[in-house]
Amino acid sequence: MKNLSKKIVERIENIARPVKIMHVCGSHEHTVMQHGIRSLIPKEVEVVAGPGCPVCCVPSIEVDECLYLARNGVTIATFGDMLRVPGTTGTLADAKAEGADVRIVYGVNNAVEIAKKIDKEIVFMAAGFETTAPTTASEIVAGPPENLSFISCHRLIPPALRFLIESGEVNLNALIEPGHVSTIIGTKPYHEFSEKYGIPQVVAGFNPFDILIAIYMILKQLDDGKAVVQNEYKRAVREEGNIKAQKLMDEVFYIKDKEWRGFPEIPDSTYELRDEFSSANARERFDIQVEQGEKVPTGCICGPILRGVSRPEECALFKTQCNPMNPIGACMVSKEGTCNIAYRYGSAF
Amino acid sequence: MCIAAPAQIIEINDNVAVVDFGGVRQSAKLDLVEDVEVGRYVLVHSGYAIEVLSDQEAKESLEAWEELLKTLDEEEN
Repeated sequence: MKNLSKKIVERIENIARPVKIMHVCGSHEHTVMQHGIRSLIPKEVEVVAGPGCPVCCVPSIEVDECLYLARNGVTIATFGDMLRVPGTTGTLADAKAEGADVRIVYGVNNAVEIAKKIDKEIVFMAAGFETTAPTTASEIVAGPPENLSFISCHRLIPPALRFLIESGEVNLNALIEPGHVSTIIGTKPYHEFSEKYGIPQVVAGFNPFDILIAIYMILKQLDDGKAVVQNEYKRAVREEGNIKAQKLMDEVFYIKDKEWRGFPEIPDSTYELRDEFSSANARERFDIQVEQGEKVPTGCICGPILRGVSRPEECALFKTQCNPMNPIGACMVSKEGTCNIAYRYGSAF
Repeated sequence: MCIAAPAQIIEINDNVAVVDFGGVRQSAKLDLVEDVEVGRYVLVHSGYAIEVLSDQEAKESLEAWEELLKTLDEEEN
């Protein structure tokens, strides 16, 4: 194994050049940090973490929507990481401590199972990128129990990439595309970024070899003067993606402009339930009263971190007041958050 | 959160499979995949199979990466 890493790193060194490669996946950042990949490759080859954690990207207004429901007698079911993501009036964990009924589930199917067992309204807070959105869609199409409705917090990766490229704030030269988002959407949605902006892209898996080879493939494209989409993760990603899952998402959701945590409104970047399914939409079922506007904790730089502009180590709160036991910003909450990962694995910078 | 892991299908009851993650068994819903049968490998995310893998693809192997590297080298020459 050592030999293989050595072989790849040698190739990287041979064609290294100053380049900023962004990935947009918490699991990629995890692999990069856990295996010290930044320390293995030449310094001029910069690997930057973008908005790769769907939990971190949920803006406070969507947490507030669920807090409002939880504090008004509605059961909330969601993924464990969502419980500590801050809204403007606390977290779902706070609401649970106050006595609200907040349940942690592994998947949306668990929310369906809970709904069948209880005799009250339950809302599934549906977070996640394209990897997770089809699971929500499949349960909505299947006809969920009447007391179950959904708050879609699903977000789409390609519109965020388009936003990041067009804003020019990060000045990125290449992209490592997320493996499991690509399992669903395939490789086609990325082509415009190579064709229109000349950005080399590689869809990559989550093993350290996957990441190292992806970096090499990107450098090789740059060396050859190419900008195309290559698929390193062929064992799980087909060019056309998972068409059955795509059809289910199209059937259930329409695409809407919306803000992300750390971002302004990103055009065409979220999924909302179509009118045909409005009876399952908690935003239609309940009169949810929340105030607009994002409240960022003083000193927290999760926004620039999510946009790939800053690193956790640049934040005054990092490791001083903000840590995984007491997360102040969203990026410290989830094990996929850039700050949480940097806290656990130290920094190669 | 987009974590997914390969697992082998042990049994299928309607649209739910029992899958084996190298010793740990869990159930996985099959609503998002087609053409599955006992013995096949699937990629499982939050309780749902999201892709069917070929047996060969399911096994991460050093040879596969070596092979990829070789292909990339050949492109160079």
